[in-house]
Amino acid sequence: MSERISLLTAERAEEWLLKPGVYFMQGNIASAEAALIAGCRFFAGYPITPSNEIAEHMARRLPQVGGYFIQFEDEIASINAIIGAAYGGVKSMTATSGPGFSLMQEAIGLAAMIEAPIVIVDVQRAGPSTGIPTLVGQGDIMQAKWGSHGDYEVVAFLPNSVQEMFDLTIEAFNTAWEYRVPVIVLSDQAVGQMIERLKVPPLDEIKVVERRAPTVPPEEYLPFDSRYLVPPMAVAGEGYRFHVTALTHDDRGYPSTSHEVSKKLISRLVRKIRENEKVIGRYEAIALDDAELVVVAYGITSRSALRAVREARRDGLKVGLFRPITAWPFPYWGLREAVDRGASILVVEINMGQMVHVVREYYNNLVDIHFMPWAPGSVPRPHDILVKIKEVYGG
Amino acid sequence: MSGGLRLGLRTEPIKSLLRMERFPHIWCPGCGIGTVVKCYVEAVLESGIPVEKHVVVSGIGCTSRAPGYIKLDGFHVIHGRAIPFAVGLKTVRQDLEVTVIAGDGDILAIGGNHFIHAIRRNDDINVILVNNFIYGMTGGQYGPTTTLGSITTTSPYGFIEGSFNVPYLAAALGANFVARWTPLHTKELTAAIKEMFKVDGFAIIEVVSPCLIYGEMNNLPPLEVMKIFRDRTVIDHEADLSKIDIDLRDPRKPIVLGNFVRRSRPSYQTLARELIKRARGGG
Amino acid sequence: MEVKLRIIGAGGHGILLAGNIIGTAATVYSNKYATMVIAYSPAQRGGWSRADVVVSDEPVDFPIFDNPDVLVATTQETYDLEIASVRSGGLVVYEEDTVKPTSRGDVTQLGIPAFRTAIKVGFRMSANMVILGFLTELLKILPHESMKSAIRARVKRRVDVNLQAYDEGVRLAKGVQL
Repeated sequence: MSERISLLTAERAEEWLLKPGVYFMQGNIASAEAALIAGCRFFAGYPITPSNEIAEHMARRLPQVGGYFIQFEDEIASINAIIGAAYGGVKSMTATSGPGFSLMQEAIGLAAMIEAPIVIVDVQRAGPSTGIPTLVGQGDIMQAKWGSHGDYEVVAFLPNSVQEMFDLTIEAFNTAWEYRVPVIVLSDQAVGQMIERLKVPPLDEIKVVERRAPTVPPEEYLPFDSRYLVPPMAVAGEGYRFHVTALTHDDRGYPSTSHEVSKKLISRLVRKIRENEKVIGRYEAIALDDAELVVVAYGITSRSALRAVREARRDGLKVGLFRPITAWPFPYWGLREAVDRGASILVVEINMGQMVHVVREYYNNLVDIHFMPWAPGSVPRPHDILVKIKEVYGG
Repeated sequence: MSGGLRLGLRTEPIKSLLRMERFPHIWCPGCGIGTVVKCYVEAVLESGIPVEKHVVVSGIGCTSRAPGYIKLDGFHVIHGRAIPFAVGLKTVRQDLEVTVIAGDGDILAIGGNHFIHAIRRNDDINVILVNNFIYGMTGGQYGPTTTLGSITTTSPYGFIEGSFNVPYLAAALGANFVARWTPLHTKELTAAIKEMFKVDGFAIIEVVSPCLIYGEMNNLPPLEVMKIFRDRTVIDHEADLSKIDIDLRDPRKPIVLGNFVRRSRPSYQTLARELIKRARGGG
Repeated sequence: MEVKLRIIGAGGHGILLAGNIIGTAATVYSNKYATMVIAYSPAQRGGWSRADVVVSDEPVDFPIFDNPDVLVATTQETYDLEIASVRSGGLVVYEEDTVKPTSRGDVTQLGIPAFRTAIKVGFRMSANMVILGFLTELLKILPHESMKSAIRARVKRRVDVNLQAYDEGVRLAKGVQL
């Protein structure tokens, strides 16, 4: 029996991890390698374009570090399996794209409700429905947050480079295990499948968060102890003999229909993220200090916007770029100073209007908020964005 | 905590594995699910496997409430997904003895795809499927094991679909252990559960236990059901599984019980461990 | 310095490998930046592959482009598909035995016998290496040593023959004036 467990903490596992150095690597593969470094030892998934490289890479690499890969019968099984594995104390992930992400929504609610730390990489493609499987989209922004029924919080990162596919996948695991929450790496086809420079730091410089295990004896352990914002997590087989249910539950994990219990649980589930939004939330601000127009863009679109902003600056326009690195929590505070100065905002995204609603939630009526919709299937070129910048600048 | 002996000399009382603070339970008086829980708990105590290594997983429905009353690591997850949850857990923690306890609607309808693929993969989990012929918790709608002609709240003119013959289905898919018992056959059921723990690979027991609501609507009061279990059951371990479909309402039709299938196809988890060794050994 | 290269040809011509070698030479062996975006024809088999590579001294802001500085095409179909996309003043390198060029006055067009040269060194599959040697010598954006290190790192079999093909490509470019 001990031999069976030891495989998961396989001796010499680190010898099999990606060595520090510079690579020319695909985004999806960088995400898979990062997951291994973060300690991921279980991957469950179902084939779907354009995320397949992650599964294929994990199928080859996970056994080498003593981990398990299963290609399940569908995305529903996949995400439920990683939730089960997480409650076995093993870091676990899945990867998918639009249609599969839709199928996973119910279980994302389960993971949020039972506070299972899981990581989902969603390589967004053109939708809705089957859409254009091979081409880019950014239409899952709202679904990532609101896709399951009821009230809960998730964390969603928005990588815009191969480097960030790597860095933010590690960050996703750390966040999932720090807060016991489902974390989504909300990539897109362009970023997931592009190949570029990746710098891997020495392993001892990479921060890896591990499970916070209970320190009390089993008879004192409350799996959903509301004295904590994030209760310590026992896992199966440690002798705690705890009960977990997707029903609304009290501190003991027992189902309850009491409104008091509901209030206590649901408010804690959202508070643990909302009260830490500024710890979790991240953004990049470029040339915002004197900007009269702030372009808001993320993922692949932010890279086109960056070039457009540079060209606008060359033309003498005071334009800056605000790039959310987390969609959820949305780093609204990063825009505050520019808004106070009266700068107007232009949101550019590859959808018909998703993040723009969030920007409006915080800053509507305070400044002009413009929107540039872009149908999925291609990335707006810098020129397209520049034209829009010139149209709305100063107006 | 070590494996108790039979002869009524278990070292731990059954209550030690029940969450007594949660009683009374939600099941109707006369329902067979409580008996299944008792048999499972007895089997756990007599299994020789430390109790902390037993894990019980369920989905949604009356049967799926079972883990809520059992003092083990227990997971009451979402509808139809107990099996994939259990497979994920078992795969990464092969030191655990993972048992799914759920109903026919959960496992065979909404979870049907997971059921057939877990058996195909031969995942090393145990499934206790309580077949109550109906959706009990939601008020008596027909399900995938409802018998032709039955009255349910969604088949008021009589049920016109076919139904699953669970052992036949599981055996055809390749399960390593397939059995069928009733809550009246507690000794055999407990023994079968204990045997299931020893199987490397997919093991399933169907427990025939009609819902009281089903009985009410189809002239099968609880006492009558017990009489059927006593008088019309036939234990035949060698039965032709294609012929053991159930119709409780047909007085000429026997309910065939037994431990029908014992196979030793290596489990997915065993092969996965070997795969890891190959991958690491191969440089 | 930033150069946008588009390499396109039939599946099996080693197009993606060529792009990968340029990117690897730039990022891993030259301390430069590179981003590659791959595209395929809709057909699963028998179609074309395209590698768009941006090589730059700075991090690449936007790696997707419509008008390459340099186009390499190894088949008539892919040449015809992309010849109009090359930016004015750009460079086109085509396989001279398989492509009949069309006239475009505002770009420089050079044909090279990549396949014949590859066959001469004894490995037809190394035509992409001939092209890489030719391009590297011509463009002078990456050192040959970096390219050769990348070839050693990326090529799975017959590394020596591939390096030989690369050198032949370099030789073909000697004396060519841009």
